[in-house]
Amino acid sequence: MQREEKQLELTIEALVTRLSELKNQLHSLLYKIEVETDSITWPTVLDNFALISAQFTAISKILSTEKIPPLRNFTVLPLRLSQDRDEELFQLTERRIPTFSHDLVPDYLRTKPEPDIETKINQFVNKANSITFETAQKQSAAFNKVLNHVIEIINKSREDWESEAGSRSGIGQTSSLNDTHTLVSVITMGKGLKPMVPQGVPAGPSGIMPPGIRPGAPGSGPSGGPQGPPGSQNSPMNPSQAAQMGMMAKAAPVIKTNVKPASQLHYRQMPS
Amino acid sequence: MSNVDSLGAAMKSNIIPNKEYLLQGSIMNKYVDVLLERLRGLCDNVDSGFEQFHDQEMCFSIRDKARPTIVRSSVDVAVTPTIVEYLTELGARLEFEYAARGYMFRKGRMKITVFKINPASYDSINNKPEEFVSQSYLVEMSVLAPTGQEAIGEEMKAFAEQLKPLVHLDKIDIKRSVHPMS
Repeated sequence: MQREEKQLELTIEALVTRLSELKNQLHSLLYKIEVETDSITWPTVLDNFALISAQFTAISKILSTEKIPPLRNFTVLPLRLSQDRDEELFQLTERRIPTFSHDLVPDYLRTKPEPDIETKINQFVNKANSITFETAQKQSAAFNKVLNHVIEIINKSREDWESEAGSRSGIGQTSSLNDTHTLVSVITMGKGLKPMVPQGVPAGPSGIMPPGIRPGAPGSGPSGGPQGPPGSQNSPMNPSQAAQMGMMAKAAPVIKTNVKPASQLHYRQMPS
Repeated sequence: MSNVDSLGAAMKSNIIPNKEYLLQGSIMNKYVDVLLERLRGLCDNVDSGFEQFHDQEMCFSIRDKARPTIVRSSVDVAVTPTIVEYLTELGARLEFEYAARGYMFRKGRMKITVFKINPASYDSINNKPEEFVSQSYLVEMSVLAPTGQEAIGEEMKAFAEQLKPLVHLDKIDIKRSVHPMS
């Protein structure tokens, strides 16, 4: 018995925290909508809705756990009503309820609809029961027709929306594997950062280029090839250099991170 | 119990978060806003907006360094401003340093960073205009966890899946990126 009570206490505590979180989020959304009417953006509103719906999921998860005692089996029984102002209650309810009195309690502890609403509901139920089968069929057919029309409209706008989204997802490449590799090697090995690299060349090509090619290409520094007009520096090439160049030309497309050697090659090969 | 004893006990019972689980990827400059927007929606710090950061990373090494892997050992230590001098005195040598500037997100115990790398040293960073290593932002997702918590890897993969096709977070093999030809 005692264990059950403890369980109930824990449950209520968890619910109260969740609910107050939810309330805060609703507050902040309302505040944003009221105060930042001009600057608020759709994504912000959607993010807030996502938060709220996450809270709802969390609450229903708490309620559906097996350990939770069925809350509907518990009732709140008011033992004493008073017209006097109750400060503690006033603070507890965030200045909403000053007195625990006869005219307020029925509203706050209500488990059934108000009597006049209940009679209204009954009237509707009676009315629904009194119409003939044919009228009912006719009405439901008309209603179905309207609903089908609505579904059609929704489907059409969904198609439009999806085709728009499809065209948007076709924006092409948003990330590059080569860039990833470059960046990762920068932060893990310091590649390209350190001036004290043994070869003295900061970035990639020194590791890739066959050693023989560098002495064989005089004057083709970083500023040489691409900017100069084609053929401005056509130093004679011996066959072995040409062969090496050919190899580079084939290899170049693989090394996308550093395109310079490849463009130099194109300029130098054209005149020959 | 002395401090050393309690530290030893903590090590043995595997409660010290000394392993970093890491996935990496990159996003081109042009699309970084799309990624940030998506991360804002997916991560925990939605309402506070994204946190910006600007770090200076300095990598020191003492010879016989172990190769970093994608599950790597990690120890967080609080330091004083004289840490650089201290390490140098110990015989460690500054291998390289860079500045990282970008955005940080949280999702549960995962940390997601989107940042650019500026190859400037700490001394010169305020004097030079910023220039960056690549036309892309580096995207990293990491979790610090005690040894033996392999399940976190699956959790991270699942989250990385949600960022596709915008950015592909993966285990990046450093050896391959150093010698792309082989």
